[in-house]
Parts: sequence; structure tokens; C-alpha cells
Amino acid sequence: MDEASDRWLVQRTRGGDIDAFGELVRRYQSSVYGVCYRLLGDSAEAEDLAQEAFLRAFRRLASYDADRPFGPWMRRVAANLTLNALQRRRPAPLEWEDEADQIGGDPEEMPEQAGERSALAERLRAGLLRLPEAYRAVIELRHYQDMSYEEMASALGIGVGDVRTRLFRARRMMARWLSDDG
Amino acid sequence: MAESPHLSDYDLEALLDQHLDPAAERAARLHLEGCRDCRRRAEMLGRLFSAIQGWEQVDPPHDLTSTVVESLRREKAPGGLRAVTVQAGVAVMLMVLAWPTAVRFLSSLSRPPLPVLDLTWIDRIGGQGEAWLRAADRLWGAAGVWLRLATPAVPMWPAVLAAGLLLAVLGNSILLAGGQGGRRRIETRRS
Repeated sequence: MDEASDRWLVQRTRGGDIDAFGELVRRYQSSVYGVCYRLLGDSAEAEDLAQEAFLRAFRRLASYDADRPFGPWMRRVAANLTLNALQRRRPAPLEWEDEADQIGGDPEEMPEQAGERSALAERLRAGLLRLPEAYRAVIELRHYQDMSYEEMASALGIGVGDVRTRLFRARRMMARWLSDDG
Repeated sequence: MAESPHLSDYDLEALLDQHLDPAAERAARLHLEGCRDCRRRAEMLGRLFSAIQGWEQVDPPHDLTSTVVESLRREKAPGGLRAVTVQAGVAVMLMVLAWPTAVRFLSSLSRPPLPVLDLTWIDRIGGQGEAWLRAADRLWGAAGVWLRLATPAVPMWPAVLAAGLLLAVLGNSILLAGGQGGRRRIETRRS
């Protein structure tokens, strides 16, 4: 995505041009929806949260540093919003060996996709959605939001040790599923 | 029990996550150079990282652009007008209700009770101060007469309307500024 033109669109939005923000939505809707979908594992909920994330970003545009790329900031807004939504739910179980097969992620519930997708991408998608929410969150923040362990601990309200443990277990599960299914 | 000569899985992950401190990272990289087993494990872990990060973008079921833009337009236009209308109505009602009290207050100003002072010491000085006070008293009385006469003659409704509109505009500005962070329900287009 062209950062210079993103910056220009942000400036126009700050000047009151809502259509300029619409162009930013058009550019980033897939990646923002992806953040919400990976964390929630539910297409309709992810769509609602993605919209809410854009509205929140619009209201908080004054706090955005225009010298930095818009995309990561936007995805961070979406991740925080979705994590808050997850925290308002009941806590998800973490006993990974026994619970993994029971929690969400039925491949048949995945959204319809146009065209062909590689087998690995499908396995990855199914694997991520099978992860318990708490593990999906650390995978999302580390691999897609590029957060450090400390930032993740702060965002999730847990210790750095817990972050490492969850990340370790989540990756183990992913590795097993990616190889077993293949 | 002898400590394992190999890097632990935890350390390998921390290395790839760039979480090790510089000294530990140097030591880990040095170990990897000489240890084929750990290098193989690090490569496998790297492939897993790549696979996870290879998530292909998924388009949302509906285009979010128009929904978001419409929400923002609704937030800016009709909501603001509605807020102005409601607040203007409330402000005018308050002004009308408060008007009799204001009139009574103004009427009470027309006969102000003056304090009784011992002015004999002023007399002794030369009577100048008393003369000034009497002049002030006459002036105060004249102001009171003017207020008593003027109050019924002051056109009431334009003043009430102007004050109401002013309050409405001020209140609306505060409401809109405060409403920026508010959460609202989003209508989602679902087929």
C-alpha cells in the first residue's frame, strides 16, 4: 500500500472528507477483517468488529502519528478492539491437549472463498481456528501484529512468562496439525 | 544430571522472536553454527513461523466501505441536528420557567434596603461624605425606578429565544465533542 497516498487520505479525512476515509477502509478492510476473523473465528462477528474498528479509528485519528504507516496502526486498533471483546466473554479453557478438538474452528464454518487455495493455507486456516482463543490471541499478536513479548503481556494483561508458555504451546499445536493433516 | 548441550525449544523460539538479550543471542547463534541438530530444529521452527505468517488475506463477506461511510455520515448529520433541536427546546423551556423568578428579582432591586450607618463622624469632618452618600442613594433610587418601569416594557420573547439558542448551540458543541468516543450500534448488511 502506498504510504504517501495513505498519509494524504488521512490528512483529507482530518479536514472533514469522509470519502477519503472510505478509501482507507477500502484499502485495509481485508487485513482488518483478517485480524478480527483470526481472533474470533466467526465471520459475522469479525465483520461487525472490523466495522467498529474503522469507526473507532476515525474517531481517534487525531492520535494517529501520520509519520508512521497507517496499516499497522489500523490493524492494532482492530486487534485491541477484538481482544477487548474476547475479554468480555467468559474465559476460554486452556487445557490444550484435551480441549483443542472441542473449541471452535470447524472447517465447514469458514467463510466462502473464491478461487483455489493451497492445501497449506487451508490447513493453516483450519489450524488457527481450532486453537483456543487465548492461544489464537498470542499467535495473532506475535505473528501478525509483530508485537514483542512485553507488548503482548501488556495487551493481554498477563505476564511475559505466560506469553511465552502460550506461544510455545500454540506453536506446538499448530506444528502438529500442519504436519498431521498434510 | 548433566545439562543438555543443546538449545531448549524455549530459547530457540525466543531467538527467532528476537526476545533474547544481546549476549544470549550471540551465544545461541554461536551454538547454532556448530550444532547441526539445533540448526535443523531452528530451520523447522522457522518454516512453521513462515507457514503461520503465510495467512492469505480473506475478504469480508460484504464490502465494508459503504457501511462505514454511511455510519459516519449519519453520525455527523441528523444526529447533530436532533441534538440541537432537543437542547434548544429544553433551553427555551427553562428560560420560560425561570422568567417569573427573574422578574421578581429585578423588582426587588427597585427598592433596595440601604444600611443604616452612623454618619455623625462624617458630619464632624465636614458633611462631605454624607453628601456623597445621599447622592449615591438618589442615583440608586433612580436606577430602581428605571428597572421597575423598564421591566414590563422589555420585549420578553426575543430575549428568551436568543438566550435559548445560545444555550442550545453551546450545549450541542459540548455534546458533539463528548460523543466522539461513544459506542454505537452498527447496522450490518447481511444477506
